[in-house]
Amino acid sequence: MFDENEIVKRILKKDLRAFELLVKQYEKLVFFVIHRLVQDKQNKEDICQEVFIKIHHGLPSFRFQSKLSTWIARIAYLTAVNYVKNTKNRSPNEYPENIDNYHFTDENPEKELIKKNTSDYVNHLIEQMPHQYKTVLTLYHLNEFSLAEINEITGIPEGTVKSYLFRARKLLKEKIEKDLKQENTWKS
Amino acid sequence: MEELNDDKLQDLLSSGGNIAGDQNYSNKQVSDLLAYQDLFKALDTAPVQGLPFSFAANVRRKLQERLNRKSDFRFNILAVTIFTLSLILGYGLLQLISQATADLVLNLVIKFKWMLLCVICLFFCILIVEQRLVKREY
Repeated sequence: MFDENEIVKRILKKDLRAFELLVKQYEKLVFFVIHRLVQDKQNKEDICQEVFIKIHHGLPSFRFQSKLSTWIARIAYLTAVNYVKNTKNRSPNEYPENIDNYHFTDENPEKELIKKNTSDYVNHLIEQMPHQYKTVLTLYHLNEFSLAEINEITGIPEGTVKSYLFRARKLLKEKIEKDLKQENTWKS
Repeated sequence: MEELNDDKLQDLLSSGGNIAGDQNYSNKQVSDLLAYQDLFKALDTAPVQGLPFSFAANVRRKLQERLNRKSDFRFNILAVTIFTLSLILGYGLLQLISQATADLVLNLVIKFKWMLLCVICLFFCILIVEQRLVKREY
């Protein structure tokens, strides 16, 4: 059983084995956030390492006012957002200022991906979405945070989180339906 | 017939509800719900690729290296400070015991200043090289 309080106390006493346990416990949480927000495949592991080093430096100031997982997710989220901002000039993706106007482009759907695995295709579509949508989808579905916790992690108001989540899912559903319809038309 | 838009369908799925087989809903609504069900399943699926098995150990090693570098730096600063203070203190004591010997030592130090400086620099270089080259077992 993972006891947060005990582990944090041990880490503060400079026990690095306890820190390794904390990393093992939360590596998936951090990876999911970084994986979705950072496109650069090469640097994902390095960024995850950097997140955990930040967590180690920040632990003395953690006062258990929130859940440890929420605090860790916030550090991962902010690190990812900063990384994306710093590499923005090199990124080919341009999103509209108001993300409510965001729509998928009408490029040819990756037919092979749809046939092979819906999950892969959904991930492919999410990669193209603005980072606010990627964030709420990841935190809600993969990391299983509540809307209130997502608000705590990202600073986005709870109502907006909900609207991003609903809109992102609606866009994905419509895009998949459209692509499937198109594929069936080609077949017949 | 109850009207279910996308938001209501998503709410229904989030709360674990199901309308499949319910006669009160149209075929379109049921097919939308099934589409959302598939989407939710895909969204809940963790990515295949992940972090290496040794990730936690790698983070610990990296952190240990940073902490060591920090403590080595502190040690080196402390060593320089102690060395300088002991030289000043030694010279001060010598001044109190015998002024002539203190002047002699000072003249010697000034005469061989470059050699002494080289010896001191060599000592600290060896210290730094040793700190960097010696691989610690974690």
